[in-house]
Amino acid sequence: MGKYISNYIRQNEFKMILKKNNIDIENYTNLGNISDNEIIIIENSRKIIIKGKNLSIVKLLNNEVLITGNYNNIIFEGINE
Amino acid sequence: MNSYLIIKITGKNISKFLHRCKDNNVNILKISKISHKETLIKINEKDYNKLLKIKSIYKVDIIESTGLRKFKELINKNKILIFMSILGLLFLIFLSNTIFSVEIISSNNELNNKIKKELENYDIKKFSLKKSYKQVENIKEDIKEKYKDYIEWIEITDIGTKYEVKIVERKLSNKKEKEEYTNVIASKSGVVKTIYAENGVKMVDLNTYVNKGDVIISGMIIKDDTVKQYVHAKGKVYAEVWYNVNIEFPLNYTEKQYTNNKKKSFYIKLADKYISFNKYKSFERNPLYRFKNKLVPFEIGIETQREVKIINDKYTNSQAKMKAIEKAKEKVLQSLDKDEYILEEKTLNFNVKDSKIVLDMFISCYEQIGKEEKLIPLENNKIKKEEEN
Repeated sequence: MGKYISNYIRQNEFKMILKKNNIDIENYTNLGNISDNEIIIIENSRKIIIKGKNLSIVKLLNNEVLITGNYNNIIFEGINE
Repeated sequence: MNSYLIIKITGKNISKFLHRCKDNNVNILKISKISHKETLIKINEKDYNKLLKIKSIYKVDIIESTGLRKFKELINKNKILIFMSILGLLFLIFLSNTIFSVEIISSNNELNNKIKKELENYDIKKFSLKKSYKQVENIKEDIKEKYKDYIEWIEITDIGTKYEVKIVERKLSNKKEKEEYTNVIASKSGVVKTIYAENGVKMVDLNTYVNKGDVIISGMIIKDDTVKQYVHAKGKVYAEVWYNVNIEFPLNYTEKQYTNNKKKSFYIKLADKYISFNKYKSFERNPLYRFKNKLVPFEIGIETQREVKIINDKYTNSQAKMKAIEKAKEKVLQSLDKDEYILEEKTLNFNVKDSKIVLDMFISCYEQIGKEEKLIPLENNKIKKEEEN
């Protein structure tokens, strides 16, 4: 119950869910470079660099992006707010 | 119901196109990369116009649509088929709700015609539309009420495209019957053996010979040379009646014998002609399943064929005579009721002619000969005058 309330209150917060071969990102601001080996996601002043092989965006909504592929490195750049 | 489009984007640097989509709030529900220059995307139909605005040099082709749009497209594509199907269905419904025949089942032809005309007034006739259950019930009630003196019961059954009307005729009441004055007369000549008079006056004694038409039980009750009362004379009169029967009987006869052989076979019947695989030379048909068309004289089905042997043989003169006597008796018995019987039979003449015998017989029967005949009452004076003369 607490989990659902927490999710409801924080539904506008940036969220990144890592699964085996895909990454689900919610409440991002913009997209950076998109290529097979690197996808850059921008969230306010932060830059999240996802590196790997055969990376591709399979879903692109206003507030959600779903990336699939064999990711092996995620780099967070910028200042945490 | 939402509509979705699957669109193929062709152009260099697809990721740039995806950026544009993000910047213009075009939601992409699914992205499938085909090659570096081609990608399939799934979007909401409402975002399609936005997509066209931002496409610039990219080529945008709709590959497939789903949801409501697909449904609309399907209908549009198959509109002639759908229209014809609906039209066909409506025509079928119309045909199955049309009356193609009205059959009235009753032994009284006059009543049949009256009911037929009455049903036509209610629009129950050939090539008119069927009525609802409630309407049929109301029609039944109305007809029953209108013809309450003639019909006891009426039933209108809907059998496919046919209306079957069963009528039970109302019998005349006994009261009315009693009001009629009658005599019981002899319907045949003979010697009176028994008289059961329920009503009326016996006019002849037992063992008296009567001619056809003689009054046996009178409906006029006479006292002191005056008709006191007229009644409905009723009763049964049994008499010895004679018949001369002439019968011919062939000396050659044909007999049909069933063997134990039988088989099932498929058949087609066109009018009166059968088309089937016949195994036996002579056989009897017994249909098991059949499909019959009411409009076309065509029938198809499965039948049992039972083999029969036809035997042709010859009687001796005495055998033929016995058979002829039996046949003559049978012929007379057919016209007799349960309480009537043969008293005596005699062979008068017996000849053999070509391949047959000719037999003359005399048969006497114990038979009911009383028949009611309407009696027209006469005025008292007239009766007296007639008696004086």
